[in-house]
Order: sequence, then C-alpha cells, then structure tokens
Amino acid sequence: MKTSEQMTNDVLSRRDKAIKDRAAARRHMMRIGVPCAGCLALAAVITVNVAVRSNNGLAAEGNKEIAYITNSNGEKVGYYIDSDGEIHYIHQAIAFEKDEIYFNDNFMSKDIAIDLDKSRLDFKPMTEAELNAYYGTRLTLLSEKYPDWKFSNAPYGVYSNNGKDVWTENSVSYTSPDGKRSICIDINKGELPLYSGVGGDLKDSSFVVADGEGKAVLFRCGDDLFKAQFMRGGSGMLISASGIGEKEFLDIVREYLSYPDFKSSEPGNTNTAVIDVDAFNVDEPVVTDPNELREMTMNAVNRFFNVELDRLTIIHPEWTESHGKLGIYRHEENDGVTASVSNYYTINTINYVTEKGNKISVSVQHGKFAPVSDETFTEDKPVSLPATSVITEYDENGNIIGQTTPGFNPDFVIKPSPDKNASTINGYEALIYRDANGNFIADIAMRSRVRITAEGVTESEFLKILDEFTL
Amino acid sequence: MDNGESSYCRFISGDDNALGEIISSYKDGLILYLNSIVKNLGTAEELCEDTFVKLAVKKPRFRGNSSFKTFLYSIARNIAFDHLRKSREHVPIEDMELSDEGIDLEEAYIKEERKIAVHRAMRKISPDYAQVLWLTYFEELSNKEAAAVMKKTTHAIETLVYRARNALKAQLEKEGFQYENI
Repeated sequence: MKTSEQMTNDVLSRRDKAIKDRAAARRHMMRIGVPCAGCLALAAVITVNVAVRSNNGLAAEGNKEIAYITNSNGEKVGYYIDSDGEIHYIHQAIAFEKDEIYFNDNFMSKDIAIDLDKSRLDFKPMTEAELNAYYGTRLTLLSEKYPDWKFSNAPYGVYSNNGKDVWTENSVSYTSPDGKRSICIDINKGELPLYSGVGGDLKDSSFVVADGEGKAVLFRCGDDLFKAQFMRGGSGMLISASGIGEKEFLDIVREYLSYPDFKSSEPGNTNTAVIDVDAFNVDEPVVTDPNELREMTMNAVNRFFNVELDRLTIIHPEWTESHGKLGIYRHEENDGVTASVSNYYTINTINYVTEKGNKISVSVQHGKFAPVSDETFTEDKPVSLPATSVITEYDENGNIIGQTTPGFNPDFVIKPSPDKNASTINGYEALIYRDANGNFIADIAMRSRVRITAEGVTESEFLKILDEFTL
Repeated sequence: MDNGESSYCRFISGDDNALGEIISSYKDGLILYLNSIVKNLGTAEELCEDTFVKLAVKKPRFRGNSSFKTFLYSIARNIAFDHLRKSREHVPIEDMELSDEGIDLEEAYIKEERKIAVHRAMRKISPDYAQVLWLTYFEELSNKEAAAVMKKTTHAIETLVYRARNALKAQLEKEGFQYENI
C-alpha cells in the first residue's frame, strides 16, 4: 500500500501528464480562449521576450512578408500582412502591444512575442476621451466604482496600415488593492474582441442574460471566473472578472449594457434569466435541431435528473441491463453573441431482465409529480398540455387504486392523500397500479418523476424493488 | 474553514504541498470508505488515488455549503460507482476478507479494538449498509452530511442507518459479540 508521500507524488505526476495531454489536444484549436488577453500579454512580456527574440526573424515566402518564429514543436508561428494591409495569423495571436505581437504557443501558457514590423504598422495613440468617442461607450466606466483599484495604464490606440485600421482592440483592467479581484474589459470596433468566448474550463453551468436590445452571453468558467461578451453601440465588448462573485459581475455587465442611455423594454425588469445546464458549449456558434438528442452518460443523466436512475444496476449486478441512447432533447441557439437553451421533457429508461427472467424497467422524466398515464410518458417533445381531467381507477372490489390524467400539466399538481390513493415509499409519494395483465407500475415523486414497471413479479417482490430504488 | 478546505484553497492557488496535506489527512479513511463500496482493498486504493487526481486536475469548485470531507467523499463515491458501472463486478460477501496490509490500515486508522470488530462485521452486511455506517459511525458525519455524500434524502439516510444497525446487530450476534451502544 502506498504511503501518503508516494500517493502525492503519483497524483502530481498524473496531474502533470493530464495537463500536458490536454495542452497537446487543444494546440490546434482555431480559436482559443484566454482569461484576459491584455492581462496575459502584460504578464508575459518580461519572461518571454529575451528567449524568443533570438529566434525570430522576417522572411519572404512567396509574395508575402512574414514575421515568424519556430516554436518548441517545430511549428512556425507568426503573421503576415497581405497587399490590402490585412493581418493573417499562422498561429494564434493573443495580443498586440505597442512594439510587439504576442502569440500563444500552446493552450497552457507558453506565450511568445515577436517584434512588430513598425515600418508596416502605425500605432495611433488615443486619449481616454478619444477612445470613448471611437467605441461609442465609456471604457473606463468602472473607475468611479472602484476608485482605489489599480488601473492598467497601457498606451491605448489602434494600429493601422496605409491609413486603414487593422487592429482595433484595446483592453483596460482593474485590480483590487489586495490583488485578489480583477476585472478586464476588452473592446473591439465593429466586432467582438478576437478571443471572446469561453476561456479556461467552462463550468457545468452557464447562463444567458437578455435585456431588451442589449444581449450578452455570459460564461461561468474556471474558478470564480466570469465572462460576458456582447455588442453595444457598434463595438464588441468582452468583460472578464475573477474573484468578485456573480452578483457584482452581473451588475457590471448591466452597467456597460445600459450605458449611456439604454432603457430596458420593460422598466424595472432586467429580464435576467439564469439557466442551469450541465454542459453548454458556446465556443462555436450552434443551432441544434429541437429533435436532436443531446446524448449523456449515465452519470450526467443522474446529475441532470437528480436521481440515481441506475441504482438497481448497482444493487443487482446479476440482472441483465440494457438501455437505448440516454440524454435529453434540447434546443440550443448561439450565434456567438446571443445564446439560449431549452430542455424538453425527455424520458430515459433502463430495462432489466432478472435472473428469473422477469422484466423490470425504470424511467425518469423531468417535471412535477402528478399521477400519470402512459400518454404523459411520451417520446414527443415538448409534452403537450391538454385540459386536465382526473380519471379515478378502481379495482374489482370498488376500491380506489389510483388516479390518472390524460396528459401531464406541469402547473397542475395533484397531491393525493397518502391513506387513500398514494403510498409513501421511504418518504416519497408514489402511486402504484396494476395493469390489465397484472403487471405493476409505480409512479414515484422523487427529485424527478420516476416510473418503475415490472412484469412477472409478485407484489412483495415489486415492493422490495421500490424500496431498493428509493432508499 | 476546516483544515481540508484551507489546504484545498492553497492548492487551488498553486501550492502543490497543500495537496500532500490533503492526501495525508484523508487517504486512509477514504480507502476504507471506498472499500465498503467496492469490497476490494487494492481497487479502493486505486479509486482513492483517482479521487485525488480528479481533485488535482479538474479542481472542482468547493462551494463551502458542506464540509470539505463531505465534498471529497462525494467525489470518491461517484468515482467508485463509475467503476462499478464499468466493471459490473459482483463480489460475493464471503470473499471480502481484508489482506494483511488492509488489516494494518484498518488497525492504524480505527485504533479502538471495539470499533475494529464492528468494522470487520460490516464486511458481511450489504454495501449500502456498510457505506452509511462508515460515514455516520466512523467518520462521524451527520445524517444530513451522509445524505449529501450518498445522494439521498436525510429521511432515507435515517431509515438506512436504522436498518444497517439492525443488520450489523444480527451479524455481531452471529459472531458472538456484544452490540450495545453501537
């Protein structure tokens, strides 16, 4: 058995290997996210310049002028400027400084810098007032809100070539006196900043704010890192904040969205919608088909429905298990600026065959608990909402054995009293039925709706299964 | 902020030594907990390491609405159940004897002879029962904390503890032990 020291060393080795593998996998991504392009470039300036300058150079390749270096993997990284003065990147550029252009060697952090060809690009410095006029907003809006925070004092302006603006991004950043909180604002003319989008590890949840004409895509990623990107007044903004918390971050986003005279379509209503989703890939624009199943692993299904759907698999490894594709039907829209996601009621089912050949199935579906009929466990998305009526079912002796509704209305919740129609299984309300063939059905109000059906089992066996599943 | 939480914060901030502190504090208990699920000490040790690797690589966010131990054990439990799903292993209860090094670990971690006897009897009861008893009796988690780890309601944990105690009682009686005050 390993000692603590041995295990620590092994864990750290595996951690380092995982990071290396992840970096390699992401190296060729066309677009990468960095927490804050401007801040990262500033941080990299001293450590990388000296090592790289000896390697960089200018070369002619065809009719293009290229500034490049060879990185540690033997790949050329750099840029060239075509005859129209447009800059094209051979690898990912992460930021411009006055005299240098920064490239990201790989996803992790190996940033490199090469001298900018000053003879080709002109830097036009701008004052704060000129910047605000240029971008149609007040870039330094937060200076009053955080008067004691350290404000980045970089030279601001745009790069142009032969009179044409070719690089119009600027960044400002604010850092708290203790250095634990920071806010960075990247802004670009006419389009979003180059590295908008998810940076770092996107967390399981993301959310979208839509506020009248101003719409922002918000990301919660990394540890306590929030980002927002939106177009406003003809300029694209990317706000990145760490250490300040969600509420404060949303306030900042609203301030920028509402400047200078923005009014919500509904006064007093900011229309902030927070949608928790387990994974929401907003890195690439996407519009999914509403009827496209977003496949999930069993673990993800369990997390999403907040129920251990495969609990019987663990308890009864001797049973044969089968299931179709798992997941939820959802509709995502994301054009890079605005995003939304809708989930539909989707059933996930696991089927078992016991060692005696009996068939058991366990299904889970989102929604409030109500007595259900087969019609409500439908493959249709979304579930239709028919007029609610309750059908009471009786056994051959005239006793009420349950109630069903022809369709599931999530707003209409029936709470049968436990001593009449519903049973209580380990604290969960449940309706237990027998169909015409004598098979058992139980609808259980767990954190999501669960239906368990069984063919060929006795009542006591079925109750034992319900007990095992719910305990 | 307990020690684990403080160490985890330091690790997140880049202090790798803090990970060593976490491993040193929680490794043995975690292996014994995982053993109550997978019933194999070697596998439990591997899963314990996987738990720490997950902590080190993914750096999941600790929100502070539970103790760090609850947070760590929840991650470990998910990893153990993943393993069970993949392997579909079913170890007969009678094959669950600990190896010599397992016995050393058990004695070093649990210390009290009476508790060691209880722990050994736990090998003969169902994994769910063993799990809930390990969390509430040996790790002294509250029912609410155990519910968070095992993803159950507090009510379900109360019922489970009740049944687990009865099962354990029966097992101890079978082996001729006193079971009062368990």
